[in-house]
Amino acid sequence: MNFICTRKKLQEAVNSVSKAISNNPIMPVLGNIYIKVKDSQIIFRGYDLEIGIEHVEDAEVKEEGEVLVNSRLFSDIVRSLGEEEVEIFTEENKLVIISGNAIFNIRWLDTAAFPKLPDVEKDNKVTIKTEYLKNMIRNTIFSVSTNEQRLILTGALFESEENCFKMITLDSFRMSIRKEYILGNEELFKFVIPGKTLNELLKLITNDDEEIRIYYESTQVMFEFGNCKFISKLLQGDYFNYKAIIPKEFITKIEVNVNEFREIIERNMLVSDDGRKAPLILEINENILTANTQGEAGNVTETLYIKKEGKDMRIGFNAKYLLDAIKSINEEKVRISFMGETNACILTPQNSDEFLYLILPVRIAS
Amino acid sequence: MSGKIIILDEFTSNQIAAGEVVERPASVLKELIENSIDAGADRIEIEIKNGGIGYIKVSDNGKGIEQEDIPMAFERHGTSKIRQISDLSNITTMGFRGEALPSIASVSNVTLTTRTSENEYAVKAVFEALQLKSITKAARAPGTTVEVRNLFFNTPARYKFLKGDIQETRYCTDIVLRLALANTHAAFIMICNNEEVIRTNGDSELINSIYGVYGRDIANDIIKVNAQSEGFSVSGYIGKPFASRGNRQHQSLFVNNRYVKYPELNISIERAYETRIMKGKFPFYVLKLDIPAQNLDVNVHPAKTEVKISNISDIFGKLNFIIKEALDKEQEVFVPSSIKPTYIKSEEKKEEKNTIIDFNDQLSKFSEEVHQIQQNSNIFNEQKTEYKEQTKDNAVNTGKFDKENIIKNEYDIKPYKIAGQIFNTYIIIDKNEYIYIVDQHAAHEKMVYELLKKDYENRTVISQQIMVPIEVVITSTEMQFISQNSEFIRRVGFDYSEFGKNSILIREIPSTINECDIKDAFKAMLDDMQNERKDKVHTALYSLACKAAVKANKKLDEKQMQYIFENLMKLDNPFTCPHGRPTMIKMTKYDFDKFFKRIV
Ligand SMILES: Nc1ncnc2c1ncn2[C@@H]1O[C@H](COP(=O)(O)OP(=O)(O)OP(=O)(O)O)[C@@H](O)[C@H]1O
Ligand SMILES: [Mg+2]
Repeated sequence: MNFICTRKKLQEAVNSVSKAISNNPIMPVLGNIYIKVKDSQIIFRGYDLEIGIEHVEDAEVKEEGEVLVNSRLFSDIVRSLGEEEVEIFTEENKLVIISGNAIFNIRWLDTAAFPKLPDVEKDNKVTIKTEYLKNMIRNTIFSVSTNEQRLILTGALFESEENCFKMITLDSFRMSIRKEYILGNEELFKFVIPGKTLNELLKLITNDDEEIRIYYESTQVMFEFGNCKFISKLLQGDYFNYKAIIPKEFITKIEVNVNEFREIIERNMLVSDDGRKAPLILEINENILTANTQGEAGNVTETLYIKKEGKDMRIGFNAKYLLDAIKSINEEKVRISFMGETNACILTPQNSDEFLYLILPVRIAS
Repeated sequence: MSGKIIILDEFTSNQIAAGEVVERPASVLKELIENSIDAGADRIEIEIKNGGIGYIKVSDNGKGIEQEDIPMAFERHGTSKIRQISDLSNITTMGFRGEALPSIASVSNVTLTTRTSENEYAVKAVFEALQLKSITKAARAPGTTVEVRNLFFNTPARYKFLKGDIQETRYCTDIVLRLALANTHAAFIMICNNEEVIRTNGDSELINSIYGVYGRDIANDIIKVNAQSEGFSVSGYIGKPFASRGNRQHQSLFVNNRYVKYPELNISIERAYETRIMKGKFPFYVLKLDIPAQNLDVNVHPAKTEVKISNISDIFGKLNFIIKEALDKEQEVFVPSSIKPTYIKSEEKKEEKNTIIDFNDQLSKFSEEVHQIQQNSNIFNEQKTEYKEQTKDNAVNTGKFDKENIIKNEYDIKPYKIAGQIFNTYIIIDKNEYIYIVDQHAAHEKMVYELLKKDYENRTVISQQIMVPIEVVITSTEMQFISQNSEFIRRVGFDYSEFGKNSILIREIPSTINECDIKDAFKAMLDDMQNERKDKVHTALYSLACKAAVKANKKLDEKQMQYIFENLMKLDNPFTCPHGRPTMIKMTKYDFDKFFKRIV
């Protein structure tokens, strides 16, 4: 194996694939980066049996071949190099890396022991802009369940709906739904991607302005964008029938300024951020919303002018749940609809259905 | 009281608790020693043989008995200590019934040798089964000696109830040591089968009597208590939680210098240790309670081993608080004595190599982990809040019971640095001259437990509603148990409804535990409550806390470690988990310096 490539390309490749290489791999061989040189391309791979990443860069290839190198060492070396071109070749049992006046000799291993990345058929495809996907993930990932007992809920549901691409996550206390319109997508799909996968995917997408192609099968999914292929297992089983729990009738609806409300919540959390999770109590009285927290460290009360329809009411929440949702809203105003003091409330846009956050309240001991 | 012995009139004697006075050799000893104390002795020598069944001797340097009074002393109700029943309300002597000597003498052979300081010679009276056999002159320094032989020789039924010599000896030494602790102004010497077993020096220092009785090693295990309050005062020593024992042998409570059993007071003291010591362990204590004589009724039990305190409910709460406060002030972290590096002798060359490599390897791994975490964040270096060293004074301040006097740990804890996590199980806290090694599970568990408990007690629990009711399948016995305890379960913060015959649907959970597996936690709570019906609240909250707490073998980020440590340190007693195991251990720089032979 022998090729010449810029340090920048090497760096990008290593950054990508190392997201699928754990510091503490289950099998020692998975602590390596797989490098394959073929035609005029170098293919880098990392795989931890849950997710697999393949990154391709072109290079000046002198001799084809493939090796495994220790991921930590190789990454450190690449990071340390200067801006010159890098020449890499095998010499018996050594991998020689030359850049500028520096010559590294490191060990390489035979690729036979490295597990093959799963093949994903390209029959079923959804396409979306990276920026949209990233935002959808960011704005829902926080409510993925962490309870391993119901494994399916530790993932996010990807679902199609009349030219729409929907993402749903829910844990025991709240639910997040995001929707993006994608034209020309007739296919119906529904699959659940592990939360951990999405977190890694978020880090991997660096360019906001490209298409990402999502290929899915019954047990796995592949995201293809830029020079990358990102493969993950899917979670198996029926996702929760989430539509059934979205309330339809409300006794009170209010409209608040997103930024103002976010700041109020943050200020309230200053006194509730202890182990006890003192609730944030919202009181709606005519057109005034009063937010109040009685914490261990102290208490805080703040009022906000709001638009209101329906009855006055009083309700308590875990402030963090409200904050997670409100922080994900990229709009000036949000509508909050209540069904009663002991029922879920929902946060929606004023005139669309791009998002829906549902949060369950706490019962306040009287 | 005049020295004269009189026979109490019938009206008076009828009002004194009647019944068995002498049950076993130890009760004879108790009566005789108390007589010596009443006689003003400050030196008491005790000797026993065959567990006291064969022979008991008690000699004192007290005021002695006039010869003419001797027959009276052996009459029932013959006493010099009270005249009428109303004297009892002001009693300062141990005796008052005039029952002890006749009771003892009627079941044994007694020889009394006594001399008052006014007389030049002593008299010696020999009794056999209460019959005065002879009375002769004898030589002796002022004081009294009573010898008791052949106990129960004429009452086979009593004799049969005695245990073996060894056990009776134990009862005897036990009572003597308690009386020695009660009367620190008197020197006690006890000889058992010709061997000295107890010696106290009578210098009125309780601590010296404790050393005399338990040995000097106990010094590190005890905390001094000294507090006064309206209606009573208490002084003495209590054991540190880690020095607890497997039984209650090492608990002595004295009320106005009387060694008594008082279950309510014992509970009040032991409750203060709750959550600090493990199940089945009992704290050490030697405590003296002083209350005004008019609040004390000593005339409740024929053997005088019980008393009644009129304002007991008041004292119950205050005593508990005093003990708790003393324990909180102590705040000593458990320092394991077994952590010692093993050094390799130069002869063991072959082994040496392996061991050294091993040791170095571990060390570098350790520092690597520490380094890694330090790199991740350095925000802790910036915390430079002033830190005041807590005063070392262990004694509880007098008088005040208001909470404000207690210095909380909260602000004392900074500055510190999270040095890292090891084995994914322990958090290392660097606090300048020492380190804490915190058990992440035990620490978090303790914190959650205290939060749950506080909310439970104050009825301020916050219940988080859940999206999809959680179905828990249970047996019909469990169902029954749940409905019996429904009010309790709701107060903890759960809301549920029955769902068919064999399951319930949980709709709300205590918000403090919203990050754990509810089904699992609820079932564990049910199981534990059914197994341990005594302390329902503690058991239930503990099992929830256990489920909600982070597990061992879980990697934590810096924020999580900080959250656990800081919230833990806000608690009154952060150093033990709800079951009394340590939440953290402490090692000083000095320890490390010693390990590495920087200092010798
Ligand atoms: N060691 C002693 N030194 C001086 N006087 C004694 C001694 N032992 C007994 N006496 C006298 O003998 C009396 C009778 O003693 P005894 O123990 O029978 O009764 P008590 O101590 O008055 O009451 P109690 O039955 O409650 O012990 C005492 O009141 C005391 O005057
Ligand atoms: Mg007596």
